Amino acid sequence: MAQTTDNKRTQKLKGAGQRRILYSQIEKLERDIRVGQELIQVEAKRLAQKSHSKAAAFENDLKKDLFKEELALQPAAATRDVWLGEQLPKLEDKQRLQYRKLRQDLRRSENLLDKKGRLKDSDAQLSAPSKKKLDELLAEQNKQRDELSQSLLRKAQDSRLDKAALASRQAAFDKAQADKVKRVKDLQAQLAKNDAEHMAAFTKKREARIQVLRNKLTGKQARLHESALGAQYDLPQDVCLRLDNVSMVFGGLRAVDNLSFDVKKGEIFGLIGPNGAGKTTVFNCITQFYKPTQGDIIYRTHEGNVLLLNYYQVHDIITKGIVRTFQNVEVIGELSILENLLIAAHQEYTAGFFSQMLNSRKVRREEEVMRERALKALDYCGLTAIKDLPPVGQPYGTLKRIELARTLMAGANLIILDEPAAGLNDQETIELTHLIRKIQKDYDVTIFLVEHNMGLVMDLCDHICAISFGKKLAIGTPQEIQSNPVVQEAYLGTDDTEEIIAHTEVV
Amino acid sequence: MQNQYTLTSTGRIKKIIRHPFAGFVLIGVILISLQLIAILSGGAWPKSSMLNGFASVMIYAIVGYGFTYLLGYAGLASLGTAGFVGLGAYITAYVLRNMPGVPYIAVILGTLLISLILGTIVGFISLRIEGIFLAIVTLGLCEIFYQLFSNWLDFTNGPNGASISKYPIFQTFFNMSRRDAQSAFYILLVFITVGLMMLTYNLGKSSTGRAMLAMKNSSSAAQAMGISLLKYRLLAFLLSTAYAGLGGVMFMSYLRYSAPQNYTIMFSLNILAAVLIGGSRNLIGTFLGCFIVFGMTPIFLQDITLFRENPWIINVTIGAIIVMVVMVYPGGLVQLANNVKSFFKTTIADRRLYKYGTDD
Amino acid sequence: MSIQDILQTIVNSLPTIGRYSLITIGIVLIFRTTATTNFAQGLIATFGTFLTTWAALTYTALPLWLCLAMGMTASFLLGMFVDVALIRRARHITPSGKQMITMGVLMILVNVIPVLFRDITLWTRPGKSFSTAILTFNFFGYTLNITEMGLLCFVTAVVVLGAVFAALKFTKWGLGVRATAANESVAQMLGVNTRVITAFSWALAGGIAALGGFFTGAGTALNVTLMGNAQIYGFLACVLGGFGSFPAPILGAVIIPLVNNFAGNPNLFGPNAGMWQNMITFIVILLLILIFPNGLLGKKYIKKV
Repeated sequence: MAQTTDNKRTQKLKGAGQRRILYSQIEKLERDIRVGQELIQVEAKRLAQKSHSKAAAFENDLKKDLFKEELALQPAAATRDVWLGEQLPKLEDKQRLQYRKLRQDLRRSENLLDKKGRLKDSDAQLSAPSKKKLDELLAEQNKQRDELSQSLLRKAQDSRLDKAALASRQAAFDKAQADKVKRVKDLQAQLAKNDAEHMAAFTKKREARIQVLRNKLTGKQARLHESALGAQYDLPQDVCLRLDNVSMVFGGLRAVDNLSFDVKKGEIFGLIGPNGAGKTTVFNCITQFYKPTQGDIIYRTHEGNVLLLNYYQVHDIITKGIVRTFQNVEVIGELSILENLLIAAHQEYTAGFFSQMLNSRKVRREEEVMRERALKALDYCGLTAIKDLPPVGQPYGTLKRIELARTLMAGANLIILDEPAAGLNDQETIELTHLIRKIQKDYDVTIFLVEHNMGLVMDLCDHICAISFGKKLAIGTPQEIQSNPVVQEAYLGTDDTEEIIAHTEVV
Repeated sequence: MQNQYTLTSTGRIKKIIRHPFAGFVLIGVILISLQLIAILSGGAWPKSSMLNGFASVMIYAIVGYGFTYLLGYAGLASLGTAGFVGLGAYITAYVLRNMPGVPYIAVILGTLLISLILGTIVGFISLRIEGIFLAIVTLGLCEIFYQLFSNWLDFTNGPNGASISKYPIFQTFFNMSRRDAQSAFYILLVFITVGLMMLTYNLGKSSTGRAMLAMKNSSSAAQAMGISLLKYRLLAFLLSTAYAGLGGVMFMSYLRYSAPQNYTIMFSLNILAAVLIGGSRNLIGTFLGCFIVFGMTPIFLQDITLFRENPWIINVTIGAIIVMVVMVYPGGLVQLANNVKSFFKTTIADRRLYKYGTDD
Repeated sequence: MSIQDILQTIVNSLPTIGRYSLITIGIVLIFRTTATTNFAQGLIATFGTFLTTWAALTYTALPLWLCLAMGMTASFLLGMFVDVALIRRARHITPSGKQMITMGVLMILVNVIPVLFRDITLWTRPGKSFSTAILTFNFFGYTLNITEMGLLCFVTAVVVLGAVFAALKFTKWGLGVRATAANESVAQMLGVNTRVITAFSWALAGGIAALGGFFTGAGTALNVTLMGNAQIYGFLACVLGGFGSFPAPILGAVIIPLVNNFAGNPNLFGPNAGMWQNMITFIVILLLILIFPNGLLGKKYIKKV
């Protein structure tokens, strides 16, 4: 429990201030380490791609040179096939258009088409004479193709070499071919070697950097540990978030009234209550959109540091690993879905302002790293197909998934979901349940959600807190909550409810 | 056996054309060629008035690029731009007249510094005051600047206007003739304009630009994602006032004369119109918008008697365009261009359907 | 500064208070019913004033009040036109967008008006001109004076404002305006004909503003920038007083001329006071707005996230 006497508070505040500075330094270091590691992977991928395309281009150039020779040495039929492969598609396209034009004109003459040129009746058939004309055209076209094939064959045959020349040039060709294969192999080996060298140097440099950062980090964490020994806020090891007598008063309205509960690490925690009970206000207090009038919100970060969230500003909350979604889906309409996710990683970008103006290498690399993350998150939530579209016009369920994908972008520790199932049908709700469970398992996060859909809540949550008019009604497992009479009366409905309904119907 | 050469040359050209900087460079090339043709033809065509027109378009465009941060990215309506441009112009005049020996680059940097300080102040003001009321307050700010320019005789020479006698760098340092210095400065302007376009584009596409857009669309979501409203609002104002100040320096350096009447609310409204017409975030659109609002008159319409004697027609048209853009075409010229493109595509597709029927 | 001086300065401000309140009430009427800050308000007023002048100069037989009525009607219709033709169609656009529409209208009007009324630069009527009489009166032993036109302006403004507030409070139209101002869609659902209400509000704002323009231009050379200052001050008055209610901006319209006149008083700021008068006024008002960002009488709304 937090002590609230004044001088003790000021004393702890000084220490708290120092600790906050340490926290932000630690976060920055961790961020740099994370980005550094991802940078190595991205760089490796980039190099691999580059080398691959270089080798492919080189091979292509060599092939080009040898190709003519290869043609000359092939039997005539094979050469003809190659030439046919080049010229036939063009001829076929032309013929196809010819056919379609004729068919269209015939259809138009028989009045089968509407104004735009489509068939009025999809089963309509042409008359027999028209069909005959079309068949004639097809036959003519067939003949053309055969003629082409024949002429090319003759050309190939004429240009065949005689036996003696053939043998020598074949030998030369085989040698050149082997030479080409060797050169390509050499190039690939060379590129691979260069890449490996580069990667080794790059990795070494990065790892060295990361090690420096890690050393700094351990130093800071040691200082933090020292300083934290004097901290008054402590949580049991398994608790992630604790609300301690939190109240939020707006003028005369007590939206949240002395609310206290614990959210354990790694669990899915639900907050339920009738409309107007103050659930969203609780969220906003936790994420510091409102400063609680009274009470403490104590949180344990991923590394185990215990913080008093009240001291932090709303835009710093995400750096502590707390991400949230919104009840009224707030996506940025002017950007594509992918870019919406990139914004979520905003705090992870380290490049400075001027580097961004000049689009320096660092900026481009970081952008790549974040893009990879975004693609992974999109894939996880099944949004890859639409990643470049703007979110405007997408169905509501998709928008909710975008919000969910956003929470995966910044290394979250606590994910707060504000009515994630609102507006979803049964099927979508089931998918959402699976997705939330999957996220909890794969990303090892704690999930805190507010929801009206009792099926989802009872199914998904490990613990539930029920509130009404800002006050806590009960807290416990889903079974306990369901059977709690106070909760039933306030929210879930009792056996008396049926009587009330019957009575009102009479009226 | 198959022939599998990848086409390289046409593919590469397509890639270059599609690069966002291609448009910027193209504009620069066109502008420079106009100047070169003028030099080669000994001033016959393009006339120097036309080149001056293009130069002022470029200067206004510089101010416009800064304004895109405010309007297009951060969604803040500020009418104080005129004041900052004037400030840049008057500082340039004052320093170059009264402090000989101060290098030009110092003038630019000094102006930027002062603009940044003032921009910070305005940025802080904007945090206290909600969106549309900000326009009102910045309107007042514009008036303050106007009063300042008209009344502070020691600094600005009042309603008679301030001037400098020589083109900086080219006349003062290289001792070129007036004509040559003008042409050289014009070319310098082109490089500055195109360079700024590139920088602005980069910043807009980076995380800073995205953060501003997030702030504009949904401040709650932005904050939840770690974007400090204070920081990015300030940044938007800083950038726009810096660009405006730079534009002012260029204004005085190229036109070498400026009076308070240049810096009224109409100036701010015209910049707003130009950026809006172009499509608030698009840089080529902003340039074209500036061309329409500021350039049509001196470049083309001066030669048509109807417009020379009735300048109000142009201004009324610009006002009408603002109204239409906001009501019907919020995307400005960019949206128009896209619509034209898709119109052509659909027309061609319809034509094909008519001629060849469906493909089955 | 002696008390005589202070009182005289206050009395000197009364005509300006009258003029500014006339424009301010128009601005706040428009804002509260259509969520638009009408940047073209001053020009609508100018239009009416020019028309009044033209009517008076062309048809010299007409009495002045009739010409004034014609001018007010012209502004009335112009305001209504802007609402019906533009603002109503732009319902779905953000307030920022509507603001920009009015800026466009401003640009159009500022160029069209000089062309329409090409020859009107001096407000003189052959044989008749505005009285320049100065009235002197005694107030608790201090002799104060005020121009006749100025007093007329102030009294007219008080009367008109009184009528408007009475109408807002007691008539059905006033109720409709207040309902629309609070929440337009709900008002519509409750049967308020919001279209008529908003059109009439714009029109009324225009007409009253033309009255203000008349008093501003009386006895001076007419220029299209006639109401430029008044409009800026009118908006600042609204922000200063607070857009949240109808009477609040009037408080702003009272404070600003007082500050302006005190700022321009040579006894306070020396012989060059006139030069810096406007600047000082702006800075003071700006500081006040910064201290009270929701207006002196404004309310802060907390948005639910």
